[in-house]
Amino acid sequence: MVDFEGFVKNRLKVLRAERDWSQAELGGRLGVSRQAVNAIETGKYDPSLPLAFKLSRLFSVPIEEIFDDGVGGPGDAR
Amino acid sequence: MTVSGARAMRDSAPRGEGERRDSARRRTKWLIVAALAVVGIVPGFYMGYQDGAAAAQSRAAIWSPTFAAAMAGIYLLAVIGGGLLLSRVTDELERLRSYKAVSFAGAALMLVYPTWFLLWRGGFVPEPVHWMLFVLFWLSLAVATLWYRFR
Repeated sequence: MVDFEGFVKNRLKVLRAERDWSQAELGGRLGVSRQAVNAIETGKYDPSLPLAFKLSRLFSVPIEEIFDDGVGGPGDAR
Repeated sequence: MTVSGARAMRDSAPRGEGERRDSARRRTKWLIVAALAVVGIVPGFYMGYQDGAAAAQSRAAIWSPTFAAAMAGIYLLAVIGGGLLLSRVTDELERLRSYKAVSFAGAALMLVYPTWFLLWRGGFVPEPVHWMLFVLFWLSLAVATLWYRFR
């Protein structure tokens, strides 16, 4: 289902908890503030594409495993 | 030191590389903001003192061209230099919030000044006061910044 609020859901909090990282720790590793990490986790802010790629590399998982816009695969994006 | 004090210090101390970087980034940011505040406050108080002393003698303060040029130079250097320095430690969320806040302050100025000017031309209100417009911009910027930061 499409999220009409405009924000995509994400698993950032889970991935961060798996590594026992604080928001500040993750923010420092990404080069962003703790507030930015919190805003992403709580769905108040969608990160830019470069930041999403950074997250993907940091957690060694594809972007699709971190973010979910609720639409589906690439073929469904229309 | 008490046990709770030691625990508080341990809990607030950076744990990993990321937290150390985050602390360093925040420290740098606050140092820049503090330096800009000093640059703004010291000349501001001096100018206020000059104007106040002149007002006490029932005359307008007259600045020398050198003093006025120096103040303008300090202001431009602080705004441009401070902006460039801050942009290095600002992340994308803070930048987005800044854009929104500046847009809000700009919109406030765009609404108030022309309206005030037109009403002045019609004889409804006194002539627009430049420093009030400047204060309006900064107040709008501060309110919008706080709104986007804490809402």
